[in-house]
Amino acid sequence: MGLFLRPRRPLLRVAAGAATATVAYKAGQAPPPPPAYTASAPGTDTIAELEKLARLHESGALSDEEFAAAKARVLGV
Amino acid sequence: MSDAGDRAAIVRKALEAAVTGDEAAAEWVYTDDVAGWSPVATVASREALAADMRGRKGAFSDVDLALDAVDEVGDKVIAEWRLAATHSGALELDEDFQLEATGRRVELRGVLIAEFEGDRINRFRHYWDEVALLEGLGLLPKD
Repeated sequence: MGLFLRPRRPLLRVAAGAATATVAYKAGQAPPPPPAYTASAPGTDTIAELEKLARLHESGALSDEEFAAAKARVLGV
Repeated sequence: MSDAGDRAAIVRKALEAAVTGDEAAAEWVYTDDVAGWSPVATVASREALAADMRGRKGAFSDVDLALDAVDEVGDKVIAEWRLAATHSGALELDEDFQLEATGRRVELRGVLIAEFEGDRINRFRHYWDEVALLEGLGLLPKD
């Protein structure tokens, strides 16, 4: 997912924080905490996703090629 | 074997399809075993690329694409592009973050380096301005 027209996740997080901080600054208030970014811990996400892919691969739902591509995507390589 | 004009047209189609999510175009633009890289992700097959494109279907409309410079070196085509498109549908920015249509006009610049096998793209690297995308979608403060 997201080879094009999608920013890298760290950039998205920076953008979310910057947008909120600027609103607070302009309002003359103390910056609020970063906006709720609902992603779970990356490690947990990654492991769960890899396990899911492995199950789909073992069941035959994913070909070797599809599995390799999906795994690379999850690992960000 | 395609001439430079044909390959430039294929590169243009590849870019347009990448924006509009026209996965059907992948069939004649890319080889089965195409491998691609962008700052965000990689793909290792046309099937994976088509699935990736499918995720952007309907997100952008009124696509205005210009190829500012196209150079061909052997089987490699280097295209510098400018894009303007309207964010008119849901856009999946992350696995858990979908941005609903903002109606904003997004302007981007980038470079696509495509290596051809015959008349289809077999390898590509795609560099583009991620910050401009965030700005265009209104996800960054203006100052």
